[in-house]
Amino acid sequence: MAMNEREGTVIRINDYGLCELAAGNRRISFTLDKLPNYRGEPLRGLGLRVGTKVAFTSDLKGRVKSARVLHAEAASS
Amino acid sequence: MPKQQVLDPTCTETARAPNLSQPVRLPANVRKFGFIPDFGDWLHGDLLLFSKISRNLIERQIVNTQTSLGHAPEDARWHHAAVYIGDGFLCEARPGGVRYRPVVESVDQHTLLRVRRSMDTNETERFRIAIHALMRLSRSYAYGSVIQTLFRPFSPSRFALALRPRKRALICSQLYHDVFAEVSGSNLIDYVDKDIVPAELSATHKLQDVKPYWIRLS
Repeated sequence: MAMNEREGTVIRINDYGLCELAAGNRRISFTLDKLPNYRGEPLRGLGLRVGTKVAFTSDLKGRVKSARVLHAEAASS
Repeated sequence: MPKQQVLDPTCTETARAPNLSQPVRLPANVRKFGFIPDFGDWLHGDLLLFSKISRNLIERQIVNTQTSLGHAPEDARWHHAAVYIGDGFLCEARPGGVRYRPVVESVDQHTLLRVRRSMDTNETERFRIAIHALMRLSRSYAYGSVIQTLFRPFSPSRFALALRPRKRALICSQLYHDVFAEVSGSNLIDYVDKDIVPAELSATHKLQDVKPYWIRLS
């Protein structure tokens, strides 16, 4: 895990690629282009849905720089 | 906390002179009132907040709920939110769905209006906020979310389960919150335990008020 990487749980995904996480009591949002190598795959293929764990890094303003799906296999099963 | 900059129909002394860019066709109640907002200082992507002076049942209930959720009265009074598109038009989620219409249809002698803007967004991002709002035209209105929020002070978990909002549906404050997050990468409402309601958009320090003015109709 990178030094400033944090984890959150997906609480909402909208049709425009906005993914909302709960990281502790903080609301964190990012768009799917922050997932490395994202090429427009459907959410199911990414294993991304409500409840999925996601690791992310953010800048000083709290904007997500990159995100990766954790436990994708468990979430998509 | 900075004083809210409100366009108040009872304070028209500072109204600006008539301006040729005013809309040609105005609703009868607006013509009778004699003033329209001056859109000259507004930018596409601005947040518009509305508060009726005499409210209907739903508007009253939204204000009461926001007060019950702990919002200060000056924030709780805002019961509707919309995205300013430009040229006197807004995009909003209302019962009936997301739609695009002239601001003057929503502002009259019975309505308070506030204009808010993120000073961290540039011209391109503000333009994209307006475009992202218009991409949602005709989306349905999230009645379930509204009812869930209205009853939240009384029974938080029961209504959350019974009225799961439809995924594609929207309420007014969610529309602005989502398009802002999609474009800027940051949230206006930082905590998950806070509902995305107009009062939160009124209270957030991430937006600043733009002083609105009336234009006197010639």
